[in-house]
Amino acid sequence: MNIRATIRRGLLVGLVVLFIFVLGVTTLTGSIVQGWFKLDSGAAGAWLLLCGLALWNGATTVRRAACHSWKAALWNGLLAGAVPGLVVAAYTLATGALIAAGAPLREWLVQLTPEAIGLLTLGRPPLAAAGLLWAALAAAGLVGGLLGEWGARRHWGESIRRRGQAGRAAIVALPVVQKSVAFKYTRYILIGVGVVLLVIAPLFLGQYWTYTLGLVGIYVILGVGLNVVVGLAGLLDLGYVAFFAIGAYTVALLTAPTPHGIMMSFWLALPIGVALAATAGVLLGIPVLRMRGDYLAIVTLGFGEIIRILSTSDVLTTFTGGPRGVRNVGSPTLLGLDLSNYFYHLILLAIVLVVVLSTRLQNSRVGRAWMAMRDDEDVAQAMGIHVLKYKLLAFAIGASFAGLGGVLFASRNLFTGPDDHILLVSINVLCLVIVGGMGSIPGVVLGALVLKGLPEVLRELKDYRMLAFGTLLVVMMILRPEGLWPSKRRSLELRADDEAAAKPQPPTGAGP
Amino acid sequence: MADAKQVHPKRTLRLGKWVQPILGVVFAAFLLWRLYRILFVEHVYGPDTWVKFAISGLILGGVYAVIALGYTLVYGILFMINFAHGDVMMLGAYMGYFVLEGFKSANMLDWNWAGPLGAGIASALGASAEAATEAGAIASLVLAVLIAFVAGMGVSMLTAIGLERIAYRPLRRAPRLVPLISAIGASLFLENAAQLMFGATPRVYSNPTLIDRKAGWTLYVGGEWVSSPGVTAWQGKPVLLTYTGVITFVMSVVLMVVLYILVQRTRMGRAMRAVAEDKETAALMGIDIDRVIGNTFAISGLLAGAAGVLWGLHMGRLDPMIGFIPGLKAFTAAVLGGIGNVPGAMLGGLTLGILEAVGPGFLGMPFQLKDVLAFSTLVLVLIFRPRGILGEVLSEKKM
Amino acid sequence: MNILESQQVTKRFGGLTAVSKVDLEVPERSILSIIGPNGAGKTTFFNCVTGFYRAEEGSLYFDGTRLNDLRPDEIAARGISRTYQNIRLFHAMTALENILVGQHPNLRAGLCEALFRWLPAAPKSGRARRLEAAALGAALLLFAAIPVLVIAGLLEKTALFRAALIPLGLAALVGIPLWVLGTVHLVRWNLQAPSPGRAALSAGLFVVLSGTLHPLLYIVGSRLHAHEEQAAFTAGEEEGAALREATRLLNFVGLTGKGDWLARNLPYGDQRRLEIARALASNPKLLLLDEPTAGMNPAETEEMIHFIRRLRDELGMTILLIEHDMRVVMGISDWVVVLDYGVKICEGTPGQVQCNPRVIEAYLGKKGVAA
Repeated sequence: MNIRATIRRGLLVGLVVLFIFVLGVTTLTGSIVQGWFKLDSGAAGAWLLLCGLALWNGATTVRRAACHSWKAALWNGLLAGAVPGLVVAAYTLATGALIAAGAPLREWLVQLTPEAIGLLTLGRPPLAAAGLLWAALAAAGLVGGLLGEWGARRHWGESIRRRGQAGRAAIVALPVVQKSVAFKYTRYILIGVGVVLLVIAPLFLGQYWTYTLGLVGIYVILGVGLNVVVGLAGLLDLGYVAFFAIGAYTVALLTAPTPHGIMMSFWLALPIGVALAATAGVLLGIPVLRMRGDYLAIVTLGFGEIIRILSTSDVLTTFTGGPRGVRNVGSPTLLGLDLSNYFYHLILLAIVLVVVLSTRLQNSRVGRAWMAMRDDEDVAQAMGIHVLKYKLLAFAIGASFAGLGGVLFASRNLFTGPDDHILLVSINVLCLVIVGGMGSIPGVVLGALVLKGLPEVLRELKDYRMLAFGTLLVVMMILRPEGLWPSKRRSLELRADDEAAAKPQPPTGAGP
Repeated sequence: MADAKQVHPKRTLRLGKWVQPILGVVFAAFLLWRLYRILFVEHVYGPDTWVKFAISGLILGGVYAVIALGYTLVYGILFMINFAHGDVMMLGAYMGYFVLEGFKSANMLDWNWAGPLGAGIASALGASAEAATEAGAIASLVLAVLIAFVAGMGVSMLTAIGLERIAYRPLRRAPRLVPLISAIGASLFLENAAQLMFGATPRVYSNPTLIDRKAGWTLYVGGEWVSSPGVTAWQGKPVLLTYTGVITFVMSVVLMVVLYILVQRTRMGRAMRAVAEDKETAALMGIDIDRVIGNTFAISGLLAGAAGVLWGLHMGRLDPMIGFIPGLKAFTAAVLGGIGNVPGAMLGGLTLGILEAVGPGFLGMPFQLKDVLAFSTLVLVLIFRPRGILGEVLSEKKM
Repeated sequence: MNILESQQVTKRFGGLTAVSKVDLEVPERSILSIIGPNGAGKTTFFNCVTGFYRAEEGSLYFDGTRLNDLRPDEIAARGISRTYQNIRLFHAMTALENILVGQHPNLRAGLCEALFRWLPAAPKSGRARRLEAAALGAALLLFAAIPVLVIAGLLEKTALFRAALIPLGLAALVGIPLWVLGTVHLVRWNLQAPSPGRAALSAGLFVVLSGTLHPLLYIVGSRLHAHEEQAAFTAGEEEGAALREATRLLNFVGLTGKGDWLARNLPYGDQRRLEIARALASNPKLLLLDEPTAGMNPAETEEMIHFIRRLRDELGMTILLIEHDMRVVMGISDWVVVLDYGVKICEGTPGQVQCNPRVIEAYLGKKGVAA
């Protein structure tokens, strides 16, 4: 029973709890719980969160210490709860006292509103509240410790895992499942059903959700494009939004009445936008693609920023519409019929197109050249691969997909402006490719759904979205760098010591 | 037998052999033309304005240099761009802000415990009452600012160390893309945490009155003949050299020198250089890699914190995003001077600062586009001279 | 006939001269070994030959072509392949994929062929390629000119409109004969093996491409026709043939059945073989092997010796070898060149070199000479 380790861990957890409080997450949890259960105040939720953390600390500390005796578990758990409890209590005491003394805490740490602090103090004087908190957290820790010991004795972790495996095996063994796996066309049927569902979705979903799904779709297009650049060719492009911007601005400037009054048809502006984006990709690529990974990232970042600043600047306002953007962007029409209500389906078509193109490329000589270049550029060149040409190709294709996405985006929104083309877009797309799974199309779709769809679902978490992004990126890189749904190859790459990798794998992209 | 200690990078375009010299000549001609116009044709800015530009450029350059040092240290050791470095600086700036606010709300910004001490010493040395009071004021100021620096540098150092242990250390063996993404995530995290904790509204640094941002020495530059009844005199145009500006520049130089001595002359610096050269061999020599890397991050954090407080004192404006663009520009400075190279970072920072201040005027660009100038410099340097001004040709480590 | 000639090749790195005025002649179908102590400049010399380094002075001639200014991929396409001292396979790719990458210079599928699998590959003859380039250029010009015309028209900028007509006219001038030629090719393609599918495809292509992008019809038509005449293969067919060839090479080096193994999971000896298979995949005339027997036991070394001899005897390759193992060097070399500190100190048959005092001194030091 290592007391010092437990105390150290407890201190760490206590500090984390403080940090969470200062970030306002406790208040948030409180209000969410309040909303769900229709309570009077958020205090229940906040205390639940704090006690939950103490409980978790208790359980894991006991598991780690491998106590093997109820008494040890009890004491360990108590300690694991008491130490953070002490930290939080001291904090509550301090802030309570400071606020009572009139210190302008709220000016400094914005989340420390009296209400927020009230969640902790429950309206009582600071000393009492602190004591209460300490007791509650210590108790939670104790309970957690006991739970942890019980779980260790019953080997909960293993039995859950085993049951999960057994369940999975049972499902796989079902005759229905066996037959459908054997049936040659199962995959196509599933895809077909999925496509049909997607196509008829707008009928059920209403305008808001259709719009959201459409946005997810556009990010899928962007993700597939960036996947070609980053996942296949291994070029880290942080300025991807520049090509998106070129597509959007092209269609906007060509089809809107101001500032140029060209009023071209959407269908003519679309290929122009895509072509311009591809050209920009080639032009940017020529000087830049000789650099090494990190430098390439920064340079593309700089380039993206240059484009954004230029589009906002006053100097080019007459050309680009300046900070206010371009309005009344044209919509597609087919034989006189206004298609602007069918953007969702247009986006679906575009997704199919880019996915097909991307998959075709991946499984061809071009795709192999990209993978070889990503693996070892010098040797690839010695094998006869013209490295610069293939890098430019990857860049151009990625850029053209981004351009396509930009065209659809601007036309659907009937507007585009510099705020649509900030660095954050590039980072978003990069995140969804990485988190979803680099080099795999289903991964990109999953990533887009998670990173773009989920925030729409969890609207209250809006302020915390970027914080969650950042945390997610770091956590994923540490725990699962290949992404949520990686391509087979990628997960093999990154998990070098997996036993499974030692056995021969079925061919991936070795033939037509 | 060494396999491919590669030149960095290879310039293999045959056509490209002519591109660089031609572009260079064109650019030089353009610069000369601008010089001519400025000196002889346009007189948009008088010499006082140019001096003002130069001063602000040097000061800004000093801050960039300090931040760039942090980047260069980490890059030299881990070959990784610490994206979150700018945000570390931002946190240090905020901490300094809180300290000064604390002093202010306790009315101790202009006169505190150091006051009587300073006054006492001055009196003991035979100064007049006025001088003693002033000495006391200066002493108070020094105390307040010193504590602000210590706090800011401390917070930044802790953040940098935490960053390394959480976001970078587990990924040391991963392919290069992975820690880069982690760095981006960490940067997002820090920026948004700061926004949630401190609010997005910008804040203004409260400087002690003696070093108020508008206080300083007035230089008289250039000028014109001014006649008033009976007298014709040459009156120079005033240019303000703020105390904060001087403090910033001097502190930047001091920090650079201290760091240089640290890296070149101390045992720890030697260990850092060894790890930067060859991690495995250094480990074989008995150097504790983890500790050296931790120390490197700690030092880069200290530097970032100092830069943050200096930024706050001199620029005044503080918001959660102030780390982002200056961070990027500081990285440009590090590359410009030669990454992995301490004197290079200093040179790069100063150069970039002056470029940014003097450049728009010199090139006839609107000031709104000065960031474009900075980023274009980055792009151009990386294309045409990736090793920077002072950089050595680095061997490319294959992972 | 010398397949490779090195004349006074010199390579410097800053102050260090790694290779100094090395003259070398490699006769066709010979096996030549380059030996020397560590740091003698052998791998640097290899790197100069493959184009990874550019020699500061001197010239390298391969089959009469000067190599100095060529890129590494251009040099590889001309028929020089190499292996590496520390194995540099594409670790994340399977064995078969590694070999397929090695075939890269011999395959022709590019972007369009990858996207449209039924499109046959680009032609080999210079004249046909030039015509295709012209067609592509004309099509791009048309593609770019038409929007400009439309915009100029809508904005009523007559000067721009008229200016844009010029490239349009040029493109049409070049494009229309090509379009006619393309139609002819399509017709002949149909006549050679008439089928409703072909007719439908031809009609469809004719309709789609006869508008803005009409010069492209030449590319499509001529390639389809060439395909019929067995002069060009579609990407699909090419991949199939490439895969068969890769499997054949896999068997040739003794890695049968391991094609789907990830390269990094292969045992060391197999990795070496795979590297050789990859080098052979491009059908090189000259093969550079950098310490092929490093880390091998005597039995494996024997195998490698036989294998290298087979390469020369059966496949007619010229082999340039860097070796430290004297059994290999003395066993199979026709000619040996000794480098020390970047300078060629001796060359000759294995027997001659063995007895040369300078060579012994280089390896064993001055005292060794007396021994």
